[in-house]
Amino acid sequence: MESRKTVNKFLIQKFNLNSRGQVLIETMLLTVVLIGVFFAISQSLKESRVVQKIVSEPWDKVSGLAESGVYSDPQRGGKHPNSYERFMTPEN
Amino acid sequence: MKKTRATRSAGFTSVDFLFSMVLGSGLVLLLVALTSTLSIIQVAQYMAFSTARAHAAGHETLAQQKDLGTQKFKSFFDRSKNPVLSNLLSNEWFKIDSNSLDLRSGADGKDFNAEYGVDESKKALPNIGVRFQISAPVLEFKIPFVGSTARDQGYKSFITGFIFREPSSEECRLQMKARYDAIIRLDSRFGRIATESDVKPSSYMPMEDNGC
Repeated sequence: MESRKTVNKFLIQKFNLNSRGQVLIETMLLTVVLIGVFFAISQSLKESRVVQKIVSEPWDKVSGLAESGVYSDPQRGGKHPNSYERFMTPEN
Repeated sequence: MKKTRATRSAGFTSVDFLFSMVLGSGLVLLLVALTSTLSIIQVAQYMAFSTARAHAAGHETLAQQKDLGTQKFKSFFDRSKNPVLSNLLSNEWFKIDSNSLDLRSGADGKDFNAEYGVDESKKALPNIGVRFQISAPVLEFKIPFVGSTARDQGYKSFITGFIFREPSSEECRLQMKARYDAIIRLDSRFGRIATESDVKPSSYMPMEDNGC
């Protein structure tokens, strides 16, 4: 046990081994990892077109509302109310 | 613990603020674009209704009714007549083409029944009036880090104004003449009264309260 401590002390003195700079190294590594994760998420959001869907999916319904007053995509069966079959009951 | 350059956190909030501001302002821009688009759509619906109303009102001929509708639509793009609207419709945020008016009057066999799935076998009233397209390039923009809202087909919508058109005087007279001729053909005596020389022309004059 004593000999091991002696060896460690020798190595520290001989090769100037200490823990100074460890925080800096770890900060750099963490920064690289975080930036990598950030860009991976960013790329994933771009590829999955999340922002486009935020606008385009409601837009399709809103365009149906603007076109014919029906909150539904006109291309997917949203019909103008004029096309509804109506019935009239005349008063006797 | 004494803070070194590596462990100091001064400025961290500034970076965080800048980053969140970029994302936040992107989302705010999105909301502004959406709400302003809805407002312009409402204006465009007024234009459609106004145009359809001008087209629907009775006039001497069908061509003149169509002309009234077209003139009304074009007046929205005229800076001297509509300085506010014309500027709203001719910028890079919203676009309505002044030549995009699709006006179908029904009488010439053109209506919007096919476009809106009207089953003509059920004798529904024809969809007649006006339709035009509005596009909103304002909805196409990039938000940093998360992508663009643009899509291939763009953001377009049809605006419709369907108002049943009053018959023109010309159509009314033609219809009344056809009706009159049909009555005359009901009985040979009617025809003789109307056309033959044994009844003095001055003693018979058809007079119909037809409102033409």
